[in-house]
Amino acid sequence: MSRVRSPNRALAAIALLLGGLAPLVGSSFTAPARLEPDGPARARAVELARWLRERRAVQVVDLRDSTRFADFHLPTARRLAEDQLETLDLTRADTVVLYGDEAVVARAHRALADGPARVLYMVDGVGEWLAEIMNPVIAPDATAEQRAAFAPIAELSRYFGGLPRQGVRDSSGSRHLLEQTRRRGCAF
Amino acid sequence: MRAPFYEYGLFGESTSLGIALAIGVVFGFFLERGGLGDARKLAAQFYLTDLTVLKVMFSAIVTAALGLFWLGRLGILDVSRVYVLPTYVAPHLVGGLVFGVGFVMGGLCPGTSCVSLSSGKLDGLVLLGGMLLGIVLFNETYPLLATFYDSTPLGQVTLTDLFHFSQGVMVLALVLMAVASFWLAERIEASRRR
Repeated sequence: MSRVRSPNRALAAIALLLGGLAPLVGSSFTAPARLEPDGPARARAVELARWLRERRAVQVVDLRDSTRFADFHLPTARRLAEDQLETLDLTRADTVVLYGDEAVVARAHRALADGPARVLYMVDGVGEWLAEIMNPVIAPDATAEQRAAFAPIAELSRYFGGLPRQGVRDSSGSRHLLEQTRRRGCAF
Repeated sequence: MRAPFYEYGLFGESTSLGIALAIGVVFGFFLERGGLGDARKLAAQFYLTDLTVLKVMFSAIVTAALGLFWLGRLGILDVSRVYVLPTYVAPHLVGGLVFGVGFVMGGLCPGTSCVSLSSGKLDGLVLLGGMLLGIVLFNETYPLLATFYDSTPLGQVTLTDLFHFSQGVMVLALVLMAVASFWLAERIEASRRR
């Protein structure tokens, strides 16, 4: 028993020492960057689609891995790894829209936001694009006002090869929407 | 070279899965050698006759907390890139209750059921089967559970966020709690042996 206890006591002493020093040495921890879903820097899919259609100078940056980029990406998007963001030669006239995994997008936005360009981000960019632009849906019992509001979105959708339709919104997720988009022959 | 290695692109998905497999094998080995593949030993935790589980879990928590803090402090690990599971209060409470009831009844948790099975114990096989059945049932009934599953979200919140103490103070508090728990556990086990 004493042989077992000696290593345990030594380990406890080491833990107490390291734990005791912890409050004294400070921490290098930086809170993880997070995206604000309703923040002013959030770009919506419909908004981005309009800018692209109007051929505005928007740089769309995909921060996901190459496999998922090849699988599907937003129109005009270029893929960059997080450590390649400095290759973006940005000026005050530039607008950049980031999309990808939330944590990566949040860090990238944090890194670029202090620079000269206007840096925006999308929350679930691919999912939102597939749902809002490639597969927009209007309810069968929509009012005239709702149909009037849907008309320009439907036109945007058709511009990008989407299929606006009447029915129930598909909540099965972006993977299913992507397969639906593929089956229609959209080659993004 | 900074950690997390996967986050910094040192290796890709396939290698990370291989590393996870290797870590799992080593983890399972030490669990088995520590006797945690035995349902009687695990269930004894709840009857306060054998508090090995408490000591193993708390040791792991303290080792991880000290490791994360000091590796971060030394600049070896970027702690902000370590994934923190989002908290959903109500679903986690219910899930914890279901897990606890299953643990006491079966004497094994999902990980130790694999350890138990690997050392030839049939109760490990039964529990593993039950776990897989539970996973299937959950997936099949997910549309009914989805609203509750996503309810009461708090985001990626840590004890530091909750109590507004510094990381160092939280680490010290954890260590003190652990040492006190070990001392208490030893006293309880000794009194039970008499």
